[in-house]
Amino acid sequence: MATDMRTLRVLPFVLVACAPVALAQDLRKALTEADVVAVARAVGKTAFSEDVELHRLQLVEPLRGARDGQTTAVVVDWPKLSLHNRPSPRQTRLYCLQDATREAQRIGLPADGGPYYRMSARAGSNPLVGQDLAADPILRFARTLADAERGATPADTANALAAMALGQDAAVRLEATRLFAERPLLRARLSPPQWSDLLGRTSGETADIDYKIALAELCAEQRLDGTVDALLVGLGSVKDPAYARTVGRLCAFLRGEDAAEPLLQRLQTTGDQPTRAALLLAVGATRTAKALDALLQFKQRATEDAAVDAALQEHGSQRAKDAVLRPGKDGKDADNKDAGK
Amino acid sequence: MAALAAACGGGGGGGGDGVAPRLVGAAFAGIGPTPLQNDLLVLSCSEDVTATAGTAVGTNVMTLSSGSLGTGCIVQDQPTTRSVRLRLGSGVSFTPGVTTIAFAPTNSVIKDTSGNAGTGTDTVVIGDSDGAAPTIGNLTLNAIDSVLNGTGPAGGTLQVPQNGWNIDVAYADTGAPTPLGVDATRTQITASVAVGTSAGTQPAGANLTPFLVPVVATSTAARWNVPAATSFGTGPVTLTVSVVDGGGLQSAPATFHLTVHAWTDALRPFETTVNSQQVWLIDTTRDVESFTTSPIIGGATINIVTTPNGRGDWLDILFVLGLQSTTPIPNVIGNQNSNDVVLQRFQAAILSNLGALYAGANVTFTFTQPSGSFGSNSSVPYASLGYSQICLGGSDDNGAADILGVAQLDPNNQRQNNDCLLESPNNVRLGVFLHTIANDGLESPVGSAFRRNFNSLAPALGGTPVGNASGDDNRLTGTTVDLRSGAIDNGIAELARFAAVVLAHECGHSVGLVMNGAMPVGLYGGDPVNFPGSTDGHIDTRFLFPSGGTNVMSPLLSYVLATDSHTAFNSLNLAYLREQAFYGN
Repeated sequence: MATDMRTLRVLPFVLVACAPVALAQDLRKALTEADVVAVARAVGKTAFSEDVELHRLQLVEPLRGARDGQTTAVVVDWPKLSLHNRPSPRQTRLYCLQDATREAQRIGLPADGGPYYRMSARAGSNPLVGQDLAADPILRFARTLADAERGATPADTANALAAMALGQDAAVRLEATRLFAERPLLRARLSPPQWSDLLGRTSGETADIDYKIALAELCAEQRLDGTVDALLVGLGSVKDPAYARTVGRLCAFLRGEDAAEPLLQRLQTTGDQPTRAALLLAVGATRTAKALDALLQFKQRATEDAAVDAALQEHGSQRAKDAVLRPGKDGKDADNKDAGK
Repeated sequence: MAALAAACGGGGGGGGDGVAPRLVGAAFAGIGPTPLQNDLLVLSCSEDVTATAGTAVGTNVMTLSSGSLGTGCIVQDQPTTRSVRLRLGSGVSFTPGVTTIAFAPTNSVIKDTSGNAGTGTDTVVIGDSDGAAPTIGNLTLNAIDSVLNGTGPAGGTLQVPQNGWNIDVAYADTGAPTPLGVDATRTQITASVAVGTSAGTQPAGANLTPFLVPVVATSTAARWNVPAATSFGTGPVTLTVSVVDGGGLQSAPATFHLTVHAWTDALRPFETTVNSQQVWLIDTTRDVESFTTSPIIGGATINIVTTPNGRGDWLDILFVLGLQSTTPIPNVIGNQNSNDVVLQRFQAAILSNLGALYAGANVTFTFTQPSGSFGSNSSVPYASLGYSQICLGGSDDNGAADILGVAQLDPNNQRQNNDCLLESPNNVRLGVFLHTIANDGLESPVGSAFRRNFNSLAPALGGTPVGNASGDDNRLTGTTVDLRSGAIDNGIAELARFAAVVLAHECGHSVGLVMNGAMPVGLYGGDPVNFPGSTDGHIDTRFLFPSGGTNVMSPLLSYVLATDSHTAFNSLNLAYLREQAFYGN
């Protein structure tokens, strides 16, 4: 093994708030948390010590937080640490920078050599940008958030983000949709036609599962009329287990203990096996007592039904898991236990 | 008459080595169940062979247990490089399914590409052909996915030790009207190098299946293990595998190129010279801060107070989430109060998940302090201490609260690592940070997967901590099952799962995952071109997992991804942890 590979390195493991892995998965958080947001190019690197390197960034377009007249920034980096986000030489990227004055003092960097920053550790917070900065969809998203902090009206911000949430750029629409789900006041600015479009997209999207899930979560957060129906319609065309789990969870969020009812009704009129399996998984994902009772009855009728077993596993309760492991025993006991639920 | 010389190229793995071809299958193909003149018989061999079309085949070439191939039986052609088709002569008589056939000692008609005539003592039953030779769909080692085993676009060559690894073959037989299926016992596995066995050194090209341990054989796949008694020579190796169906038809050979490298303690992740296994202490003693909460629109946020409070930081987070109470219910199980029961379940779930994630690896996890100490060292030589340690703590000291865990990367696991260090001029804070999980969860939308469990438990969300609601004792024992008990059960289980996955990830770094570069230099870490989303020391292979799951060593993780039961180490990472593949020279 090469000597340099023995060197101690430190690897940060970055949190991502939602399930899907995408290009700009957590960019929205980095944009709002960062002290400086800018399009920049890494133009130089100097070693301060064996442990610390300093990357010099040339700011191409400051978006937020830069000082008046600021044209450069210094990113503190630990070359022996395998940090996820590190300046890429000669590439023009969007940078979300956090103030690193505290770290600079700890390291002993000269006070007049700054200002010092660390790169955001958020996933997707350092994306490449296109040559046409004005047209780059990620930069348009970043500018919209920056404008909001500078005083753009909430209505204008919501309108701009709604267009992005319904747009074609996969990374940006995912970020915009999740942002609405996380910001109750912002989504309160959306108009009924915009909600109608979002709800229609929720049921109609079939290709981008991550986006479909984000839309479903947004509509559920808003407790929009018709959300449960849209979720169920969506299951007709998308059988993805991750989506089915989301449907079950959101049905529980919206309907409580009655969450399984519409799913079980839809099940009665469903013939094809993939849709049935997705519906059953959603039933299990409600994790309600009624769902458990229904699934145990299915299990009694057909002990070798993989879709029912998957749904019981998804339910997660001890009785459900026991029913999969010991079908006869639990099936018999199903009507006698937990009567008080 | 033209010689039907079989090409060696793709088949390989058998010729030019002085090993005579062996008969591995014989398939009768006739217009009826009883052999007649001009019906066909396909002979399948253990390696590439040649036979001249039109050459007579009599008892000087093939020996039958009863009957004969008929007068005028000749070589018809070669359907594959490893098989010879005979046209049966007049007076042919044998019983498919009963009669056995073997090379005659005087055979000089069917030879391998080096001119060695088939003379082995192997006899095979002449089968009823289903008309189609089986096919091999995949040949790999240790169940490693094709994109990670050196055959994918990322390139590289898989490196394995001299034994202890598995050969996996996936196959199919599609004959009509009823496929006879692959007879795994007739599989031929050869290597391009000599292989040491309990019966002495087997030359290159020899069938190795007698010296491998069959692990599993189904209608579609089989696995053989290379046991300790069988040892491959070091260097580049080509494995060649063919399978035979119940009718005696043989597949085209499949090949797999690998590198065999002898273990050294420096390269072996879990060498046993001193330590019988890799022990990981999950340290919960860090107390450098405490926490308060503040409401935000739609949720809550956790504030960090940078002074210790006499209680482990991880426990502080469990209090924030409502999994601990300042007024626990006493004697819920024996003399354990409700806090004790929750903690026991939480820790047991972490250990259970870690055990499952590291299944088959020589690694154990414990919350109990082993003997010895790191002192102030960040790491020590592997053999000088009996354990590594990682802190399960509070916050990441990063301001943005966006890091789940940080650990040292220790290529090939050459050292015992202390992943409990606090920040210094040389280090950022090490460990796994429950604060990041909790804070992100409390700030997430109310209908999120995290909030679903903790809305009813976390005081900052208006919930009631476990132990504060009437009947929580019965919920903890399972006597009462209701929505709240579901939130408690799932809250404990899912938080423990998330913590375990992050612990598995960080400890993975400290045992050598995921080195950048293709095998044998690395394990494909840091290759965003072939594995989009990957970063230095990480590999994102979500596309290899069922929907919802991901690789433990992915650079990205969420509550939903981590708690998905499909999330696991990818096949190459797992093979490394099981010491069935490794990197470095």
